[in-house]
Amino acid sequence: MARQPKVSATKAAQSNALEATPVLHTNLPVIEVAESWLLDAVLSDPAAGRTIAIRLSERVAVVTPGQLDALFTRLRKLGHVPRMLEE
Amino acid sequence: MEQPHLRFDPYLQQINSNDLQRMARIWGARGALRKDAAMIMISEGLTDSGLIDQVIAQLDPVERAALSLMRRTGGIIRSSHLAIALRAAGYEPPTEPDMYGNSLAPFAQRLCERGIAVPLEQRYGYFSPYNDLIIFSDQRLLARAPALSVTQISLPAAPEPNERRFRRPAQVALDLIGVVEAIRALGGLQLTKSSAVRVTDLRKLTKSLGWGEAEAHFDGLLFMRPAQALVETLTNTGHLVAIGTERLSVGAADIAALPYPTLVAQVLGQFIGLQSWYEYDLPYWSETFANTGTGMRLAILALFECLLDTTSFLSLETFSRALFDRIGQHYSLNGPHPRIARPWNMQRPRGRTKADLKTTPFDEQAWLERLWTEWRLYEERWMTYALAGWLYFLGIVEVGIEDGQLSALRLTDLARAVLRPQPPAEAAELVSQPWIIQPNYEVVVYLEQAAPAQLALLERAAERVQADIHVARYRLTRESIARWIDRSGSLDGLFVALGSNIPQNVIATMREWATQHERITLRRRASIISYPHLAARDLALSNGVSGRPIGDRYILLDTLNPSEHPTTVINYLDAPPITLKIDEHGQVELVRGQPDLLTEPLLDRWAERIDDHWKLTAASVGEASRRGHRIEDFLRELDQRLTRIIPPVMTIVLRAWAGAPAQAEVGRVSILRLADAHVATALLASKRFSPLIRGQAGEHTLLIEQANLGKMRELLAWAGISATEIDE
Repeated sequence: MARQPKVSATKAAQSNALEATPVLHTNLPVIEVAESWLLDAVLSDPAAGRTIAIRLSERVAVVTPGQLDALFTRLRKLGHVPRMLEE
Repeated sequence: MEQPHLRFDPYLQQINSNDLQRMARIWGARGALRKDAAMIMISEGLTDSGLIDQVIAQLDPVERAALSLMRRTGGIIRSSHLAIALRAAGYEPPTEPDMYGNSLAPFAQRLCERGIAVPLEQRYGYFSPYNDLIIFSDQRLLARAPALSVTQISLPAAPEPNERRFRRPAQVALDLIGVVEAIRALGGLQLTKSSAVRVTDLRKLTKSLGWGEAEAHFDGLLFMRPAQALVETLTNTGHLVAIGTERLSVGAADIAALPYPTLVAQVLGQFIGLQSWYEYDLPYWSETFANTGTGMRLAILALFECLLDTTSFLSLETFSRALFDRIGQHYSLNGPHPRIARPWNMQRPRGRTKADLKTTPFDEQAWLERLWTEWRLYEERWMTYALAGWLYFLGIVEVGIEDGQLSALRLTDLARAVLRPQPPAEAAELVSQPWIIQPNYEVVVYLEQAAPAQLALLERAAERVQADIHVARYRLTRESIARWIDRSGSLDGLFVALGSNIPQNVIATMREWATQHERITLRRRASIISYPHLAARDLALSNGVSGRPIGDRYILLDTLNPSEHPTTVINYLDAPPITLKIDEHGQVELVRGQPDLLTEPLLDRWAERIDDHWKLTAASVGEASRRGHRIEDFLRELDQRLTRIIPPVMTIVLRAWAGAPAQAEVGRVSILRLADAHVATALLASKRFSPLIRGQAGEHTLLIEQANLGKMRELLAWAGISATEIDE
């Protein structure tokens, strides 16, 4: 295979058979957008897309830990003015 | 800044009984007192403001002035700085040296015994217990201390300079508020382990303020490292506060709520005590000189007070000479002594007779002239930096320029308001919006009509483009509006504050910027619960887990409530859970525990998914590399999740598949096998043989390239080593 499309990654995450009990994930860097096409646009940019670890839904994705500031800077370069919440 | 040592009470126990008894006298003690009784008397006296007024009234003028000066430095001062400031204000602190020749010691001792100061540290200096100690006074005494009374001085006025420069109070406030707002926009400044601001953060701040890293020019006048000085000063005023040990952030006190003179007085008061910052770059060997800055700063301000009644310009030389006449014989930047020692025969004639003095006459005038020459080289140079730097920046002096050099000075109205505060005059009527907002998003502010709070509003909501003596220009931008929304939550408050004269196109664009800003949100520390399937997630929501459903299996929590925690918690600030196994064929399996959310996408990115495991192949790894992912990042991420160390050969293979193969050569060579390993060693060490040898395979075997075989045979024959041919 080569690299699977991002949507496949979402499906893979959603079909995690090993996960039998709820798991709390804390201190997780996340990007949330108002419309799904915005996340599509972010993922289609090579530099921004590399910082995204997994798409959880149409509008929410997990950012690779340590890459949030790089994503923020990249989004600013792409003309967005993202909101950064520290909590 | 919190000053933990501004009350005597916790320190009284450390003071010996005799000293305490002397301290207690001013509070009404008579005769011998036990230590605890003396402590109670002092502590109780300090709670009675009427008694404190009586105590202050009993002090002699020098002691009272010392108390006033201590209030100016926040209550803490080195006794040498205090002595020199007193001299600059026109007082004569005691000069009679103690038995060790130290004249500062008796002065500090006197202040302590009079009950108005306590040594901050019970340090016994060189012989003398009060040798240039740092002393402090109780905040309740300081609160009742009178304003410093000075001996006025009359100096010849200089002609009005052709070129004059000064800063209005609004400009000063604008820059101070600008520093605070820039730090707020940066999210604070990171601290090092030694609680200093990180150099990179200071650099970011300097850049965002548009100042040079090592120096900045305000109206062409040089101010060295202003960001460093102002961060330390604003920390000491409490406008910046340390959050834990890691970060310096903007404090709760609103800097923009202060009237201009109060704001500048606060900053000026803390500027005096700066230790890590100096007016110019000190040579590395003069680190200890920095201690003397506080004394000189106090002295210069004390002399300003002596001049308050004049509005004329003074030449720099006149001002410098006046300060020299007051302190030059006792003090220099080198410390609490003149730069050139007083000749021995001018010193106290201990053990010398009058006859001796007559036979060795001294020339005091010649010494003073030499001292003055040195003063102009060093102390006056420092003074120029101080006047052009922080005193100009803070709007205390108006300067005259001649041939590009600072040549004259006079005090500003702001200086008079700061150094001799008057009861607040009736507040001038504020212009509701002292600005014009133009359709091109520029805001022109008339500084003379602007209050600090109005300047702070613009610093928060717009980007300053330029500021001069009368007008500042700001620009409303997408970024500045985003910052405003992050801090204030909505745009409506800004519209109200900016007033009704905002052009319609500006309102529409600002609303559009606000909408855009809310479209993408990055959360640094989100909490998410993952469930095995949709039904489990929906059940949790119906059971009251507070959060928003995300996709089919997740809930993004509003707040992290411990009672709602599942038993399995993965913290993404920690190392990831160890869950994977890899073999030499590149097969990766989940073998134990609960993987984090990043594990599967990581493997999907680099390997092929086959049923319940993954297979790393040349194609999958090559594809990931081509998409810009780095193999070293993958190896690090993989290694953190493995139950056992990655097989070394797999590391080599993966790097090779990613485009960085290990270097290898295959070729035909002949081998020279030697019965004695020492012979092989000798040949390798030989300058004649070693160039012909390609390498070594074990102790007894050398590798010879085909091209060198003939030459090697010749040399072996020459060396008497017979080599038999083998055919393997």
